[in-house]
Amino acid sequence: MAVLFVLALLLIFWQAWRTEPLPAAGYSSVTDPGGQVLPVAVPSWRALPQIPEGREERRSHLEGHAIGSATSQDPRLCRLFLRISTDHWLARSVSAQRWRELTPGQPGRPGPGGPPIWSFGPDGLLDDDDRDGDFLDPGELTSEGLGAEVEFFCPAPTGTRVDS
Amino acid sequence: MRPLGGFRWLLAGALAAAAVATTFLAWPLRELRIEVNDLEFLSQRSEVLATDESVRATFGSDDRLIIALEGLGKEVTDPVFIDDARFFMGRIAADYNLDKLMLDRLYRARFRREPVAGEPYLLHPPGAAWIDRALLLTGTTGQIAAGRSRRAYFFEFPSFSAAGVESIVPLVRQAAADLDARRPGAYRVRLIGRQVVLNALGTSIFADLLRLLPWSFLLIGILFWILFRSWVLVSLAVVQSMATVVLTLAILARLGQPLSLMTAMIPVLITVLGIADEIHMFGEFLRLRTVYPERTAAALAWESLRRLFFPCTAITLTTIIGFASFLATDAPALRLFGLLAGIGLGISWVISITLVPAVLALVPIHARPRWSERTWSLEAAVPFLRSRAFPIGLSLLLLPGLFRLQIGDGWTRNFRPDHPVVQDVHWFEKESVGLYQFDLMLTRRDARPWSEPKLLAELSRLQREVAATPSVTASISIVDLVRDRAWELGDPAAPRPPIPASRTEVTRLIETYRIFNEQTLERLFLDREETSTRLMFGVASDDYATATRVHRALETAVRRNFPPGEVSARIGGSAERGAVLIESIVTNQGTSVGLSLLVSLLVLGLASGRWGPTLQCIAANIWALLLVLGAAGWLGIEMGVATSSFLALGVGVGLDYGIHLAFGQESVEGGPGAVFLRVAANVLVVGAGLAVLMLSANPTVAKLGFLIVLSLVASGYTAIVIFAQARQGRITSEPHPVR
Repeated sequence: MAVLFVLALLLIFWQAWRTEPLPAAGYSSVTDPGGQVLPVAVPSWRALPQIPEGREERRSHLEGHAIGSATSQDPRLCRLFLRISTDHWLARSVSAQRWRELTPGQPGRPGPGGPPIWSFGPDGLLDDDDRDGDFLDPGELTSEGLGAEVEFFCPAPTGTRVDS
Repeated sequence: MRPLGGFRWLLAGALAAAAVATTFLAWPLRELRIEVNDLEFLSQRSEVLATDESVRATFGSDDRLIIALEGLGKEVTDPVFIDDARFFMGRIAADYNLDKLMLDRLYRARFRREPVAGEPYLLHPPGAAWIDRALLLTGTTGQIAAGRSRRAYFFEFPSFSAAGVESIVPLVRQAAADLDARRPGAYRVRLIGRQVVLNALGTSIFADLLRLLPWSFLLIGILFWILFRSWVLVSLAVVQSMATVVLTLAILARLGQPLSLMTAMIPVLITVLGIADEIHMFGEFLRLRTVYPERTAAALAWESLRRLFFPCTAITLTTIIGFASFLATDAPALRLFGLLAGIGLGISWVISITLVPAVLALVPIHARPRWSERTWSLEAAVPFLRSRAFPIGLSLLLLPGLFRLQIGDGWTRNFRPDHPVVQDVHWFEKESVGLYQFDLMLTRRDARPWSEPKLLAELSRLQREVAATPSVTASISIVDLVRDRAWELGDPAAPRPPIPASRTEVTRLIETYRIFNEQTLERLFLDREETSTRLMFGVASDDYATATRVHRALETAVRRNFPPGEVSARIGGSAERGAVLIESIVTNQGTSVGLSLLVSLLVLGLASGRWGPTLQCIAANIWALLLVLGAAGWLGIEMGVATSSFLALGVGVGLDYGIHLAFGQESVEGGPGAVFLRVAANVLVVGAGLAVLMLSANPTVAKLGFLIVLSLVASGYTAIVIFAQARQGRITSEPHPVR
């Protein structure tokens, strides 16, 4: 009996030592790279953010709060920032040609930091006039009128910040 | 003082060394964690866990902590409420991390078709009228952003871990206090979530342990005093119990395992079960001392140990087998529970055969309880044996209750009904989707995207069918996201539009979730390739019957709406886990009970070579368990995760009585009823000790305590009834003749 007992004890000690603690289920996110800015959606509890005015500081702030900013960027292309909410922008890399199509001949108006900005009317989001799968259609960025702010940052030597 | 002989010096030295070794071995106890994890009750190879993992990998984690702000006089569309909610969230968001992780589904900015002067962006804070329409029309906002009464607003945080959720709670409480200072008595704040329940359960079981353990020690002390009238023996029993508990928990910590719902019961169990040997050891020692006053204490202690070694070892071994039979199950929590309880009893046995005889040999014991001075006939020891009809009548009365037994459980049943967690969960069940959900993951085998309008229509039909099932409180799918967004982008005064007619339009609507920084919400329902989708169904309760009913409804709806082979369907989620868990636990308990009875039969039969008494032991035990199950059926006690554990304990401990009666050497010094008397005392002490569990703040543990005590009493009774048949005795209670 004693032998059986000792064997049983050894067996359960051996089994106990082999029993690993359960790992906690990991937290996983499946959003696309650059597909999300924190906090998710638009925070309702924040005051309006202060956006830096210097060109590089401003661009850096916009990149840090933009959807799609993590995708690899071609340094020869311009960066377009469309302001979606108080707290986030939609970033695109566009060619100078595409920029000219979007703002046909319109020079933009002076932005908060000096260089020009354009307006994008909310209606523009609801259609795709040229049926290219992109809601931004030629001529939808205007110098005047109400709408969401749009800014371009193009590489040198094309211009430090696009001035029409 | 009498000088110590060499042998006594040796024993004293061994005792001192044991005390030092115990302190050293107990050191890891400082690192013991407390954690309740519902996943540890499921087989790690179970289908539901695989589905949950797949859902997590495909759609992302959605375990969340929900903060409910309940307005006691205002609705969520009231401007004052909106302003206060914003203040409240702002206070919480003072913490950098919480600011980044908070999600507000109700007041977040929305698209407006017309530009707004001074707001050069597309999304704007919604007005009260717009929120009102959204709550009325939309699937998502309408079901999960605010309460049905319109007086409660919900926002949430991702639930990364138990510790993470625990760290958010004080910040939320502080913000609630700030809000109360701003608007006294106007709001109530509630925290809801799976992790909140589990954390509260962890806190509760620890508080329970701190309350119950001292009661166990006290009760043991009192019962041992009543039985033996010796402070030395009382102290010895309590010290043994404490050492056993400390060493066992230290081993738990050394294994890197936390104190959990199951392992938290072990201290009380082994405290009580561990001292069962001492009742026999002390009793035998005192009786022998009366009969042989000329012998030394060391000789008497050795003789007691020699006589009781086989029965004590056998009962401990069968109890360990009872616990170790949990190894045959596939639930990690049960396996660890069985192993640790076995280790605890092993430690207790080692102390019983070393420390106890050593102390009996070393320390003078002057107590002379009256019962040790008498001889005991069988019927004097257990007078109720005269009635032969009683056991038959009892069986006929209780056994039909087996047909009334129900399976059922739920996490909230681990709290008293007035516990804040239960109150909050029940409130949330009435106000919103409930805490528990089913995930139905549908993957197309033909690689067609779910964004095709025809497939969305099929999904919508399935969703409607399941949502019509009683107990389903809410349902959300990609169809809701598409239709909600179509409404948001359109005219707020119009009804919610139907599913769009073209895939291009569906894709365009889905794309807005990315643009609006809400891709997480979209991904919860549709994977990147659009070939897998998830439907979420909230259920009113986490009980077994509800979960089983909804599971069947899901399977039926899938079969009805999709031809075989077109989609693969998998069911997961917390509600499904609950149902699988209860089912698996009850099955596992059955397996472990059957196995432990079989192994006990073989071990006892082979070790003793006496198969007749062995079979009688097993029969007595099975009879007792059936009686208790029948009683549980009549009393309406459902078999769940914890309550069904009494079966294994009933085998492990219940067999002890039969073993003592079958294999205990009937001491001629005590009369034919002495062993029966000791068994009765054992039932009394162990039963009373384990009755401490009935004082638990956890109703499930209290029920378990009741069932264990019942099974011990039943096991003791059936064993005495069966073995008493084989013995004859006269009713005598005479002074013992001193030899």
